[in-house]
Amino acid sequence: MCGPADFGALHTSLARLAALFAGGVTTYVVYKIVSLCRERRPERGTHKEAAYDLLRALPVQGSGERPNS
Amino acid sequence: MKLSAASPKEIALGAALGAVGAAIFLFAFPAGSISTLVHDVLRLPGPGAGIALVFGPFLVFVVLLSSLVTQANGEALIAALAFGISCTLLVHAFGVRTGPAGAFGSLLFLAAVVALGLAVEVVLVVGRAFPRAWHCVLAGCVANAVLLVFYWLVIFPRTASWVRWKDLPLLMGICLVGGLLAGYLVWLVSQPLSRALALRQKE
Repeated sequence: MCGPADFGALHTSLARLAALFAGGVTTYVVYKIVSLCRERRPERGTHKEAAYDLLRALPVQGSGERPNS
Repeated sequence: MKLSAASPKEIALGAALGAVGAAIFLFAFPAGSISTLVHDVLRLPGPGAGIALVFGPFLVFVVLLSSLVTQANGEALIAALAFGISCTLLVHAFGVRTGPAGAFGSLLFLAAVVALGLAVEVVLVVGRAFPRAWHCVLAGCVANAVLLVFYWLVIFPRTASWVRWKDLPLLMGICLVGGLLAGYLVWLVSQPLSRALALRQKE
C-alpha cells in the first residue's frame, strides 16, 4: 500500500480533471467553428470571382459583333 | 500502418507531446490522489494498481498518440523520454509533490518510462500485419504490462513491497484492460488529429 488515504488530493484531482476536460472540449469547439468559417470563406470568394468573370466577358462579346451598316 | 524515419519537426512534436503530457499528469494527479482512488475507493490490492489503472494507461495514451500522429519511427521512444525527463525536471526544479511509491523523478522511473516507450515501438514495428485498431490495442496492452512488470520487479521492492502472488491475476487483468482502453482511445483520437495535421502540412 502507498501511505494513508488523502481524499482532499482525490477531490483536487477530480476537479482538475474536470477543468482539463472542459478546456479540451472548449478548444475543440472553437477549432471546429474556426475551421468551418475558413471552409466557407473561399466558397463565397469563388462565387464573386465567377460573377465578375461573367461581367467582364459581356463587353468582350459585344465588341466582337460587327456593326450593321 | 507505414512508419518512416522521423524528421526534426516530428522529433520536436513528439518531445512537445511528451512534455505536455508530463505537465498534465503532474497537474491532474497530485500526490496521494491515485493511491487513494485505487486502494481506498476502489479497494484494489497493491502495489501496482495505480500503475495498472491510471499511470500506465495515461502514459500509453501520450506515447502511442505521438507515434500515430507523426507516423515516424522512434517517435514513441522520443515521447516517452520527453515525458520522463519533463517529469523529473518538474519534480526536482519546481518541487512538485508525488507519491513516494512511484519513485517519480528518479533514474529508475526514467528507465520504466523508456521501457514502455520501447515496448510501444517494438509492437508498432512487429505488428504491422494487424489492422490499425488492433495494432493500437495490442501496443497499449503490451506496453502497460511491461511498465507494470518493471515496477513490480525493480521499483516497488525498493519503495513499497513485493507484489503478492494471489494479487497478480487481478492486477494483471486490470493492467491489460487499462492498456486496451488506452490503445483504443488513441486509435479513435489519432484519426482526426493526423488528418488535420496532414491538411495543415499541405497548406
